[in-house]
Amino acid sequence: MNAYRLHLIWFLHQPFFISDEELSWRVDSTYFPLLEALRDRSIKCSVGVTGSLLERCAQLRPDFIEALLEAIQGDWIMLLGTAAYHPILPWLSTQSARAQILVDREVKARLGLPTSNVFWPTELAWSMRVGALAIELGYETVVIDNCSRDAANIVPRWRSDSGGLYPVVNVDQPLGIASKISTVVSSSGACPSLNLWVRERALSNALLETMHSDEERATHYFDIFSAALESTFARAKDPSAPLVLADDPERYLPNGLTRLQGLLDTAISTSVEFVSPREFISGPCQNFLSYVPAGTMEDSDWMWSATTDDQWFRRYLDQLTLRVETACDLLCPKTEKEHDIRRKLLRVQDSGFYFWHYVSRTRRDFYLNLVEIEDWLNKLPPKHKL
Amino acid sequence: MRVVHVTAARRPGFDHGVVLGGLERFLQELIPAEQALGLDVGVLEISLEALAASSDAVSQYDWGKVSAIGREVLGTFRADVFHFHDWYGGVVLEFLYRQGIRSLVVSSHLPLRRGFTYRDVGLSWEAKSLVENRCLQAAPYITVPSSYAKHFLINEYGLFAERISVIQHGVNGSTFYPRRRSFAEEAPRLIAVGRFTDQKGFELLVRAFKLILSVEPDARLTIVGHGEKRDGLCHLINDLNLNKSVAVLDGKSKIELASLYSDSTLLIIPSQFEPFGLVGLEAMACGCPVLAIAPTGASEYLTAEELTNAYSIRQLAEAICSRILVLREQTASRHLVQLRTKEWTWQRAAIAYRELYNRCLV
Repeated sequence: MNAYRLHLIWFLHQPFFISDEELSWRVDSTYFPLLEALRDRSIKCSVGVTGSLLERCAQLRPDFIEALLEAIQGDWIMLLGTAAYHPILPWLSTQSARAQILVDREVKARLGLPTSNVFWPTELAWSMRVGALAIELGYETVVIDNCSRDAANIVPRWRSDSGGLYPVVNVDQPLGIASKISTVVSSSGACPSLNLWVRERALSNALLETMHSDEERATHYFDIFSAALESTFARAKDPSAPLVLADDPERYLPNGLTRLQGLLDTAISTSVEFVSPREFISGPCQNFLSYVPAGTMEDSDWMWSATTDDQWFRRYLDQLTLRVETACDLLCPKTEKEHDIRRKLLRVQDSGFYFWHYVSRTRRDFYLNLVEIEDWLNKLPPKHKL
Repeated sequence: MRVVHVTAARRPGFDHGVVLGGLERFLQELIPAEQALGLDVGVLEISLEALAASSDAVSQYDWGKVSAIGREVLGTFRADVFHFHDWYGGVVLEFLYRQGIRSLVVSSHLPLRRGFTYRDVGLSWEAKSLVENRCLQAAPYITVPSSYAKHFLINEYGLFAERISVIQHGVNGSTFYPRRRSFAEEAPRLIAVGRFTDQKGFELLVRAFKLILSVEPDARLTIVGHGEKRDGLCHLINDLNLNKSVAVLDGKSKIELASLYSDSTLLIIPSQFEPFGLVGLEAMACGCPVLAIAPTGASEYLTAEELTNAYSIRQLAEAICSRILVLREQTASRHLVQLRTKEWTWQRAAIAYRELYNRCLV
């Protein structure tokens, strides 16, 4: 038996400000080669794709939709449900969060892409309310980052500083980690159970480090990844059970395609077994947590409100969201214009505003969409106004 | 008019005709062409020591100190126009700009935001990126070798299109011309030329070549170049048991390279990012057809059938095999390929730069 067992999850998204030309390039340079590399090695995995990306691909690159469908039907990949765009769901109003999840489902149904009952919240932005919404909208499992799992059992701590007490937010690496846990969320008055798959951040970080390592030989750069496998599995409740390695392929491809292939080859030939979605699903939940704290896949919460511009944007977005939700039903827009406004609102909830490189490239499109929404709101008759 | 090109310290071989990286090759060809037009051309090389000395100052946003380093590097150099190449001369630009000098041109040969850079200059990625962005934001005139590169700068750096001039590279027809007059039917000989880096995609080509051998068992691949990835590439060739059909050669002189192009069936440019692809133009001047992965700056001189969107190994192998089949049918294609390069002279490029320099002085 191989020493380490992993379930791979890839998550694909392109924000709305990415041009059609670049999106098409991304399909050729990243998504197709990724599917091919996995297929060539008989690696079965889970794939999350936002509804908005699928919708654009259906128009620009229907060949990619066909390839996805073929891979799903051939049992090579399992498609996860997610949000339509790429929001931090816990920040959104319930109506907006619900609309993000519903629109994603509608797109996938419209394109005939069979979707599993596993939900990937974009940014792995989890809160108990996100879990409740996932259940309400038909999912049974949600993927979370290990920071949420590992924060569940820490003792809140504070440090004293000149200005008073400050919370200590460092999460220790616990022993007895589990890749599948369950919790109970309140949803529509009932208390249904929800499964959680836990993505191990340390493995993803090690993969990133390996991909950018100066080492030239696959056997050498694999050592970096291998060390992370060893230390993570050493803390696992059941070292023979698979752990989750999940990441965005856009971080590595196309520039690192050959390195990724070398890494996969070395992994397979040495110590790693890639576990299919079907097999991963069939494994038992290994732990129960009564409360799973909110978290995202990012290292620091500060990155979401680091600048005045970040804070301005969030406030502006929150204000407009409230006004739009007062003026129309996001779950069931009545007119074409309302559909258009919903699309604009949902896409500016994309977290790409905060971290996408190079402010001058990206933020103007967010700003323009918000202005258009505000213009529409200002022209509404008084009864619709907040 | 005195023009000073500000660039990284050139590596051994620059003055001895050895084929080097794109930026060095560019200067090797452009400087004589500018001199032939009557320009007084100098070169200010930024040493590795100067770059390393600026590293801490850049990381600490101490631009005053960066400027002071720039003043020291500049020394007694004087010019009517300073022409910077990539971010290397950023320390000097910082000083000159603070002195009120605006006759500054920046040529972007390898924009950092595409994810590739040299690793041997002592600055971190972030530091280089800071300097590069400062250069591009400050310089009144920016040049790129292709519309593709211009488009990239506009999108990724938020630059106004009006600030960016496209000045394509040229090819030296007295060095690069066909060495063989007849090209009898024989096994395909593929060639790829460039630095051994992730950007150039040679590992992708090697992996694709293994599949090509199943269709064209007698095919041969020659990869010519130098760089940090050489050992890794050789290991991969060994691991894939391709030693008998793939040869890796160290950097060649231009004359040797012209002979290799002349003997090759097809030049492959498998680059992940290619602002122009000088080697493609040089191969064509020798009658060697080209196949490049698009989008690429090489689309300036290539036609649609010479481009492929194949990034995956299997698709690239299929694209190369298809191209080989087509070329077998087109017996006169080598001559036609060569003819297409006649207008692409370095003199044309030098004239365009001279016009730009004149605009700087208005």
